[in-house]
Amino acid sequence: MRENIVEFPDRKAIEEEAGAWLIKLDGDSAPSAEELTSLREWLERSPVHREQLGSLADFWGKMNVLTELAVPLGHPEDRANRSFVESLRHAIPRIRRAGFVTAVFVIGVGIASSFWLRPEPFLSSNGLYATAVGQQQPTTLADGSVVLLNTNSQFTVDYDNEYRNIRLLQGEAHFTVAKSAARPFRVYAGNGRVQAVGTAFSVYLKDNTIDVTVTEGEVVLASVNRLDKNRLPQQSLHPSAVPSSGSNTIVDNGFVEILGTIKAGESATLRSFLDADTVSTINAIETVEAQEMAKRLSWREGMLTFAGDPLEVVVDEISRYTTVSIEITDPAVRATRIGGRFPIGETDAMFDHLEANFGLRVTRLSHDRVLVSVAED
Amino acid sequence: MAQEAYLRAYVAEQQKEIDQPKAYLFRIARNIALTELTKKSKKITDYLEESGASEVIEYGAAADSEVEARESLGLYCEAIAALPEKCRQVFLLRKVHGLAHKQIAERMSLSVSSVEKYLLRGILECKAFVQEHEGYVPNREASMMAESGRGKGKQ
Repeated sequence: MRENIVEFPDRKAIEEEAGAWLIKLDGDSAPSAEELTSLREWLERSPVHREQLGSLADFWGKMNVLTELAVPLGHPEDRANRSFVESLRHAIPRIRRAGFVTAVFVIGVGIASSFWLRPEPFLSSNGLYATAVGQQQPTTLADGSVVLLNTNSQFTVDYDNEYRNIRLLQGEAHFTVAKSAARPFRVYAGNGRVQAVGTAFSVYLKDNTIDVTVTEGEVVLASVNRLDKNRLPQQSLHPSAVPSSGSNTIVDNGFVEILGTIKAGESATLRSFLDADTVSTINAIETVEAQEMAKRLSWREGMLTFAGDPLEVVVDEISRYTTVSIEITDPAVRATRIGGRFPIGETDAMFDHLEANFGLRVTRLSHDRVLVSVAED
Repeated sequence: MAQEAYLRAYVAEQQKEIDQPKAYLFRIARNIALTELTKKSKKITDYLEESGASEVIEYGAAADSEVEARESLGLYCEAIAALPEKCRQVFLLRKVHGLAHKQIAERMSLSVSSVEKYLLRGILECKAFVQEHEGYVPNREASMMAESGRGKGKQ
């Protein structure tokens, strides 16, 4: 259906229909094929239809910033209204606008009646910590150790009287460990383990490899393997079940083998076999020059640094921080060497740089897809 | 480099929060909600794109910096505060806490379709509110947009 003359559209009615579509798409279950067909028909009615739904979807997405106000939700039947407004203030330390304060309080009263806050577990820092794509976050744990979590990463903390255990479930983190000789600090990632007493290092869990880079002091690398294959990796690798020292120790459900020690200025890559009882191996220990070290850890300052890396590698790295998918089809383009320092999150600045300095063209295929190709003169 | 300055300020501010252990739990809650909602927003744009809406839609969400997003936060709060109570509760459980429609229905003893009606009303009223109060948005947002040479496509 194509119309050259579009009747004066009733924007309000269209906006309401657009809203209904949006909420349907926002629903818990994916739309059926039939629904998608009628969505397509609806969108084809006029550019106004498309614009209305598009701008509502945009607005809906922007409103995700409201998660800044999130507080832990408890059970709906119990209530502790008093602590709510107070705690909401902690959740939004960046109050900049005068009008904002009032609004938050009104909202606070509004939602206080629908749930309560769990009052207790604030004492300990045990639990799950996570970042969304593009987000970075420092966390100080109960012992004063600081974990800086990079984009799209997760870790759990399990401190007890004997050990300070961390499990990196996904992504990358840098640890600055508070000294406590009596309670070793251990980071589990895949089936590798990195143990430190007081030092600073970063661990990046990527597919089947674990990259460990030490910035201060030294760490002991170990492989943790299961004897019982039927168990889930996380259960069998439950950190408190694994002893801290001694090599080749067999415990109830794990087998720990010390692989070696690396010190400040060194980096090691472990190969991780989560689904096998093969022992992890250190692929390589390399000494990292100061400059290279600074480059590798520049994410901690919110920057990405590249020094003549192939575009392919650069794009892989950038992709960790954005939901925009970057495509390169031409193999020659993939190999283009790129240098530069980019603030994390400024994907557009990087695209501009590629166009201005590397003879490349960046085409936006859609709002979340771009194609990088050779610029034609 | 506005982004870099912002990130530094952000990190510094987060560091301050550390004196307040409660803040940890809030951050976790926030991250869980944000991850859930980001995933959903991405899905929605995928559906729209598959349905051929991509040529008209100019999404600002992905292009906007976090700073701009944060500046909008106050305006959104005011918009939500103006909603009727039930509608506001439903809306907040969805957009602040990232609960699924069904979870909201259970929590508030409503049907899923009522939840969706409230969400519909919520988004339409908030959008109208924000459009009316666009003067509230600080000028520098406009100048940043101009600087980056990126049109918003909202004429």
